[in-house]
Amino acid sequence: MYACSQAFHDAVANGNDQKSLMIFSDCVFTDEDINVDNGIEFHEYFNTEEDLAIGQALSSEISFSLFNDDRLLNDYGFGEFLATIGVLIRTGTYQQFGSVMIQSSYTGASYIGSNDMPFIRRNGTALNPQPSFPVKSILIYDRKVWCFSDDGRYAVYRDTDGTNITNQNGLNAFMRKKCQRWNGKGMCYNNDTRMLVIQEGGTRFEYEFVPLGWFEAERPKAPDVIQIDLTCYDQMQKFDQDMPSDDAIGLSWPSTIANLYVKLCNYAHVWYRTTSFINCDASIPERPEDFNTATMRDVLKWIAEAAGSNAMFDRDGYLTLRWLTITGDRYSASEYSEFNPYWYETKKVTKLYNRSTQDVTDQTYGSGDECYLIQDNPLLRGVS
Amino acid sequence: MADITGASLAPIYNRLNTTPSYHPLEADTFADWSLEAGDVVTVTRDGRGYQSPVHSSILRWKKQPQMTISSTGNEARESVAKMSQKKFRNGSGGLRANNYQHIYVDDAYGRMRSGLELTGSSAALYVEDKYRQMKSGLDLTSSSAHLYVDDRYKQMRSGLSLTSSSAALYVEDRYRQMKSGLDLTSSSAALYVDNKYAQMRSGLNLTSSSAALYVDNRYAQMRSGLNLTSSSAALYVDNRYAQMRSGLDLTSSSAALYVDNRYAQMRSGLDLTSSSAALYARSADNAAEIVARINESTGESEIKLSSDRVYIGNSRSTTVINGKCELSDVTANYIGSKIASLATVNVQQLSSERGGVSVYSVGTTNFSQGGVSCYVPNAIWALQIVQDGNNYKLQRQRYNDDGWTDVGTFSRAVTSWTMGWSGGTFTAKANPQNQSCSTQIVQGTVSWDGNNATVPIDGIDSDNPGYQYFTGRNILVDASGRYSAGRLSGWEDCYDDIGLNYSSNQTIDPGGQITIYPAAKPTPSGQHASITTRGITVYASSASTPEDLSLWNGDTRVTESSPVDLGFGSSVVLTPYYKVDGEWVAGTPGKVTSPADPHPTRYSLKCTGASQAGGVVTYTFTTDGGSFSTGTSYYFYR
Repeated sequence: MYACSQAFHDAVANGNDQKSLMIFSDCVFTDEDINVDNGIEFHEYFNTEEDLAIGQALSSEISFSLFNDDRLLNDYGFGEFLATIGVLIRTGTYQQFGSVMIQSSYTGASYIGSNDMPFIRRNGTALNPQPSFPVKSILIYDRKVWCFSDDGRYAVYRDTDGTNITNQNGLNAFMRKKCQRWNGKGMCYNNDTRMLVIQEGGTRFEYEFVPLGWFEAERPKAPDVIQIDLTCYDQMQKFDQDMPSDDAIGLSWPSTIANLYVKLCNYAHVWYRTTSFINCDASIPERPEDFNTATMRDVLKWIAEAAGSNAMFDRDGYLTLRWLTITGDRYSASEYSEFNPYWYETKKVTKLYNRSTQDVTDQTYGSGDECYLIQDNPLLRGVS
Repeated sequence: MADITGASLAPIYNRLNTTPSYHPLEADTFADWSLEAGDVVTVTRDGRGYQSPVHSSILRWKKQPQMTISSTGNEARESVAKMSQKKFRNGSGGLRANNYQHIYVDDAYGRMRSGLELTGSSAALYVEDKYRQMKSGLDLTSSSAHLYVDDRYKQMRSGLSLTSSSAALYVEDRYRQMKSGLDLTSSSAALYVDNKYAQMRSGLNLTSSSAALYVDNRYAQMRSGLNLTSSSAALYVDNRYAQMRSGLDLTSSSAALYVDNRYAQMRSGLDLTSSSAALYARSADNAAEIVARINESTGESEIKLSSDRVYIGNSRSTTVINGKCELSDVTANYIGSKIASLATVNVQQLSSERGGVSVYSVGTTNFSQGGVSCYVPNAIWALQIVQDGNNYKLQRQRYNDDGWTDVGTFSRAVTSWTMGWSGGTFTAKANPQNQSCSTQIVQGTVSWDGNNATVPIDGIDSDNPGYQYFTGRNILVDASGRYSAGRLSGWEDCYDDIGLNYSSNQTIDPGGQITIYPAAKPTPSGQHASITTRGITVYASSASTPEDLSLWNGDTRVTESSPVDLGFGSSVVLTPYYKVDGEWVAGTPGKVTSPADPHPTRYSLKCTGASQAGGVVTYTFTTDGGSFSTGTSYYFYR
């Protein structure tokens, strides 16, 4: 279960207002851009086998539709993005100064935008250099302070000290229009605390977000449509390539399974959360022949299986080798609309087979009737 | 390869063995999205708790979450039989059925999950039982391949491609869902989504000549990306609650979209480009609406028509257009004639400047002559400044007005003056009486610099947008109380009077000048701009009375039949002569009043220059002493 506050759970249970964000490197799509009638559909998999299984490397999937009435997304390249949904957990008031104001939840600094010079002040002091335009809205994200005009111009400052990073004239066409709708809004999205604060007209709204994950959106082949339908997969797809040569991936033998795991992640350009796992110190004497016809995802599955785990990307975009976690969550009849339990119980595993079809050898562990089969895993060959 | 060293099955076994037994389940919960696949939860029913891992979860979020969690597992694990296991885990896991081979997945809760390829001519896949799920990658390419998904709770989730000539997909029963990527490209391919709760969500492409999509029943929803390009393709959305939301493109010659019934809603993106395409918004209670967009600033629903011509009409005798209607197309003449043919028109604002729909007033406008002529009750067609004691008044005259109406008073003591409307800037529109004439606009801002009150007048020719035909003409009132222009009126091509009307005496000192600002557009060339004097009184030292008084251009007496040729920017010196004993004498005749009973004597200045903007005619009276006073009215004829 993703760690979040009790206020988050309570707010969702109470049906408080919710917002979705699709945060790209140079663009953010919000509920006004997403066809909420169609909704967002998010699939997350730990196990897709018929029975409880280890050694899987599954990809999450998210689908949604973006409005493109003005055709402003026709030339947008899309790419990697964070999908996250938040819920309103708190409201309050504040005293408005200037045309827009917001306090950074990173540094505590207060920013006031104005229609007259100075256009932007930090803790009461005019920033230098000033933007060349009246500041109509402010967004603080990733420790950067974005000051927007109402015609697509922006200036960016470091939140830590207020130094200027860039003064630009051009957002992309979509954001240029979008930031005009932000007039009067001060916003701070803290990607450490996952809190979004919106200040507008004396009212302060605080949303807590829980991410769905990092995904890759491919530019549609025919984007000139009024609605762009996107189905996106997480970074597991980066492992869908042939296992590279030892030189290419930087492997030498013998190598531990942990080293193989790290090399794979580095080659695929993904971050990893798990650094220690079952059999991580086991030594592989030489490059297994199976690697020559395998994909990187096959190798990742073998690593996961040797670790008694399944591989998946967590909500923060890190590769993890994980096993089941008892959360203690209980859902009573008022908390589900349909419930279809099977009439039987799936029993726990009482015997483990490790089999290689090359040499027709079996290693077993345990003595019960509930058998689990590990077959042709080159990282467990001959292991008992 | 040598064996792996340092690895052990024991920790793997311990992890699996310590994972408790569980009830496989499927539940639609109100869980929030902090729940992750891999979490173990407990679902209770009738006092009993079912603990189960979440093998997979589906979050459907529409501003509120709904989450389906599921887990799988068998009642008992089969003892490991070496051959059977090897058979299904061979190589990359692909299972092939060649000609006349069949794969049956028959048993309760059996599932087929990936990589099935049927390439034989009669290969077939049957997934027949309860809770079966086919999750990916089914490719039916043989000529007679069929996929049957028949029973309750069956779900087909992705990547179904029917490319053979007789391929067909039948999704027939309740709770069936087809979610993506259905491509029917064969000539006889057909998709039937027939029953309650069947949902087709994306990417349906019917390109074959006889392809058809039928969405017939209650709660059927088609949400995106329907493209009917075949010659006979048709989309029928017939029943209550059917909703078509986006992306319908009818490009074939006979393509048509019918949205007929109550609660049917068409929300966006209708493109009718074929020769016979038509859009009908009809309903039994006459409440059908077509809304093109919602105005972001006002929140109002709008429809914007930007084509060259817009036809609005019906077979009824009365049509009412309510609310704000802005027709910005310059070819609004046609619209005007159409509007005029209607029995009742309530127009609040029509911004076009041309015949009939050139209306700048607010209120009811009656079109009486097919939209060409219109009555504009509030249009101002003339302005003048008159003296009122120590103050001055600006007066307006409107079409059909009998006289002048005060619209504001200003004093020389003030430095600026605010008109009675529009905050210091006045704009008046005027329509000519003559139906062939054009609309004119005069506008300006009154200012006072301490010596002169100035009303700059811009006359805009609406026939030639952007062309001003008397730019910069001022109504000037100087410190001595004289004003150089009073009444402004007249209409281009109408031979109405425009220009300057000196309604009081003006004294010109010896060597002095009267500067006249003529129209900037006195063309066509050859037409006369003339000056008419009404009673010239010359004050001189002599008391003798000449027989006549005239102005001479050199040796030529200026008469109406011999006007002075005067181009723009040039000037001419006219010398006053007086007649004594039948002889014209130059110089100062003494105090002379001629004629004793003033009568008009017309002198003409012929403008021979080409059309020019902003030209200035300087009319110079030269005297050799005394003063030269006139009670003169100048009229420019164009």
